[in-house]
Amino acid sequence: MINKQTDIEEIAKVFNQTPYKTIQDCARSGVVKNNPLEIAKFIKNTFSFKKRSIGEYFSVSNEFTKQVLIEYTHFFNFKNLRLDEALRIYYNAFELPHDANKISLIVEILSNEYYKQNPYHFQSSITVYFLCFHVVFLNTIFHNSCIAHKTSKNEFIQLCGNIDHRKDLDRVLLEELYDGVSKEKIIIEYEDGTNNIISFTNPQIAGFMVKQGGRIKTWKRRWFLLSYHCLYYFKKYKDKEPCGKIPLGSVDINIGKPRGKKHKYIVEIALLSDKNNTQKKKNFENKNENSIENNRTYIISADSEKAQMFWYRNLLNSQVGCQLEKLIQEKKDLFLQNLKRNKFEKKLN
Amino acid sequence: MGKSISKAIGGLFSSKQEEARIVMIGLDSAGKTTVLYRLKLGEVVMTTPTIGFNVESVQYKNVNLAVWDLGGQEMVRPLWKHYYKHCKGIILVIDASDRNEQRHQEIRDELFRLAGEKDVKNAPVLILNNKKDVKGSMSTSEVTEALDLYELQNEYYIQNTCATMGTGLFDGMEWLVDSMNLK
Repeated sequence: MINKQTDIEEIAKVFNQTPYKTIQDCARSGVVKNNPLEIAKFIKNTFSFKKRSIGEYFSVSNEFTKQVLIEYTHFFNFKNLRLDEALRIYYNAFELPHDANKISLIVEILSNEYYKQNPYHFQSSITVYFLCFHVVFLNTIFHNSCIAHKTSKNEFIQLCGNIDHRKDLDRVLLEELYDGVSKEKIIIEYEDGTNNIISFTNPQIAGFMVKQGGRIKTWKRRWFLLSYHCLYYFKKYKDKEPCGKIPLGSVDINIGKPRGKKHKYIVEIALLSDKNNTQKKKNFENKNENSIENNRTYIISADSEKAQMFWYRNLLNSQVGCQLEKLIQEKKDLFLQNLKRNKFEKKLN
Repeated sequence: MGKSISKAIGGLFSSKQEEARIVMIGLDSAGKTTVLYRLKLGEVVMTTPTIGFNVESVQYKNVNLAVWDLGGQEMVRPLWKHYYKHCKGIILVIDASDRNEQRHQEIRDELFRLAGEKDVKNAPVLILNNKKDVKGSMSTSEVTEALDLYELQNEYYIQNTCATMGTGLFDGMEWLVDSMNLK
C-alpha cells in the first residue's frame, strides 16, 4: 500500500495517459491488491484520476473490468433518488464512450445497484434497466442537435407504460422523468469546468470545521469541501447549495494564532485584491453575491492539529495547481490569438 | 469545410430538405464509431459531453441523414421498435478481418431480426465490409455466404471500405440514399 501523496500523483499522471495498463501494473507491483473491490476503491479514492481516463478504463470490455465496475458502483448512494438524478450522479464520475454496447453494460450495472437500493419503486431490476435506457435515449434525442424529431411527453409515457410486466409504471414518475431530462440535459462535467455538480460529488477533501462569521464574529460549524481550486462551505452536510465559496486563485493561506481555548487550530485564508482577483470575483458573484467580500480574511478552526495541518497542506497544494493552470490558460490564449491573427492575415493576402 | 461545401451545393439545387433516420448496427470493434465520424466528410468532430448514443447528421445531396449508432443488445431490443419507426435505411458494419463463425452468426441474427421488423421491411441495407485493408480479409462474396444474404428480403449492397482511411464510404452512402424511398 502506498501512503505518500507524491506516489499517487505519479501514478495518476501515468493513469491519465494509459489507464488500463497502469492499473494492471499497479496490481502486479502490489500497489493495490489484484481484486475488483480493491481496484474499485483505488479508483474511487484517487481524486487526481481524470474522468475521461476512468471511462477509458471501464470501456475495456472484459470480465475483470466489469467486476471492478460493479464494485465501483456499490460506492454510490442512489437511495431515494429519482432515476435521472441517479444517472446524473453516476455518469458524472467518469466519462463513458458513446458506444451503444458500452452504454448498455453500464446501464445494466447501474440498474442493478439502483434496484438494490430502491427495491420498492419498481418490480425488478430489468424494469429499471429499460427505463434507464429510455432516459438515455431521451437525453440523446433532446440534446443532440442532429435530431429534428423530439419525442413528446405522451409518446414517452406510452413507450414506458408497458415496461413493467405486471403493472403500469407510475404516470407521475414518468412525467417527472421526462421533464427532468428534457429541461436539463444530463452531461459530463469535466475537471476544468467550474460546475457545481462535479465539484460536490467528487471533492478532493471534505469535512466539518468551525468558521468565524464575516460581519458578526460568531463561530459556526460548517461542512467544507475542497474541489477544483475552490473551497466551498455548506450550512448543513446535506445542503445542495453552498452558503459560500472561496476561490483559491489569489489568496494567502496561513496557519493562524489560536483564538481562545476552543479554537486553537486556525487556518487563515486572506483574499488578495488585485485586478485578476476582482475579475475572478465577478465570475463567482453572479451566483452568490454575498459569498465574497473585498479583503476579507476567512478564519477557520479545525478540530485538531492533525486536521489543521491536513487542510493547510491540501489548500496550499490546490492553490499551486490553480496558479499553474492559470499560466497554462494564458499560454493557450496567447497561442489561439496568434492563430487567429495568422488566419486573418492569410485572408487578407 | 467539407460540410459547408456540401451544404452550399445541396442548397443550390434544392431548397427542400429531406430528413431520414438511419440505424447503424454492428458488433463492437467493427468500426461503427469510426464510420460515423468519417461520414462527416473528414471533419474533426468534437464529441459532445452529453450522455447518450452516437448520432451524427450527415448531409448528402439534399438529404439530411441522422445516423444512429445502436448496439444490438438482446434485452433492449423490444425498446428499439419505437425508434425504428422512422428509420429509412440500415447500415451494417462488419469487420472483414474477423473470420470467427460465431461472430458471423451473431451479426446475421441481428440483421435478420432487425430486417424482419414491420417498420423497416422496405429499408435498404448497406453492408460496409470494413477493415478491407487488412490482409486476408473477406471478399464480398464471402460476406454474402457468411451472412446468408441471399435470404434477405430487403434490398442490399455490399461495399468494401476502410473507415480509418475513408475509402469506399461515400460510394456506399450514395447507393443508400439513392435506394431509399424518400417522398
